[in-house]
Amino acid sequence: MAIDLWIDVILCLSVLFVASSIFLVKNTFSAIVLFICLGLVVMFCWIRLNAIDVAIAEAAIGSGLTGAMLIAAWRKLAFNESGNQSDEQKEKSE
Amino acid sequence: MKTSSLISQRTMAAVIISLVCVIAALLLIAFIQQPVHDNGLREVVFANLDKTGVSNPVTAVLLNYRAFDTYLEFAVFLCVAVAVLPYVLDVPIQKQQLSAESQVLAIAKIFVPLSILMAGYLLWIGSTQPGGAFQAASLLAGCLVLLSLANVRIIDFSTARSRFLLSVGLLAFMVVNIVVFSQNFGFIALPQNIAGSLILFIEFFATFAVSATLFLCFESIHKGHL
Repeated sequence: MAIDLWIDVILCLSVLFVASSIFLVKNTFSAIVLFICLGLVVMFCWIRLNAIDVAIAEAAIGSGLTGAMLIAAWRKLAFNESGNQSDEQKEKSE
Repeated sequence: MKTSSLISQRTMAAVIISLVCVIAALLLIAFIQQPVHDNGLREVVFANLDKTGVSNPVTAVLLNYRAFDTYLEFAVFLCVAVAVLPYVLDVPIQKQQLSAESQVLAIAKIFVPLSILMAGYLLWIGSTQPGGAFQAASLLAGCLVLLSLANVRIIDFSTARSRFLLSVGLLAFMVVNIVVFSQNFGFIALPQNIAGSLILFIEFFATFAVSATLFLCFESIHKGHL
């Protein structure tokens, strides 16, 4: 009983910790990785709540597919920013 | 000038922080004052489970008790697909090939067959144990994402066939509803003796439609227009 309670408390605290660190981290890529981590921690929460269906969906969609989408978007953003910077540099040099 | 702006910034920050604290405190009070969540639905679900054709309560709620919600959900998925589709049309096909020792290709070779097998298992097991159409669909979509990263083009979204694939879940559900309604069973009321097979029929097609929609969402970002 006591061990169960401690597992729940640690899960709650880690959800809060990971979720707040997403906002506190400056780097976009770290934020995305932390978001994927948050999905996995929340998956454990669903397992603790005996909702295995939701846990599978959370792990696959909430963490996996959304993470892949965010990383793809991050790649596009990084590409765009570097492209813009090179454009600015060209203008400056001209 | 600089100090005044600094002070105003500080007061703004103080106001925002105090507002957030007040709202958080109110939410906490509201949360604590909530009665324990027990509205008696659990007993109703388990009492009527043998009439639904499945023994997994989650699948029973999704596709029998609350079938209308799931029906509309498939329609929402189709709307999402229609909204995202313009981003992947007319995208130039990438000619570059991955080298044979590419790690993505190696991972794809191992994991794609395994996850297709696992998706079929999840779909089949969904009637009795945790699993079902959405879980199987997300696994299949993961497969497609892996193949897309390995530059293997499976679904060409500009063809009519792929659009049919995107809408096949809603179509299957529609067909079941029309047939059941025409046999005088009422609107979205699955007959008891064949409810299990009807649910499997809907879930089978929904798996393909949902996985194609999820993959389309990924593809629109990964390879679509900016």
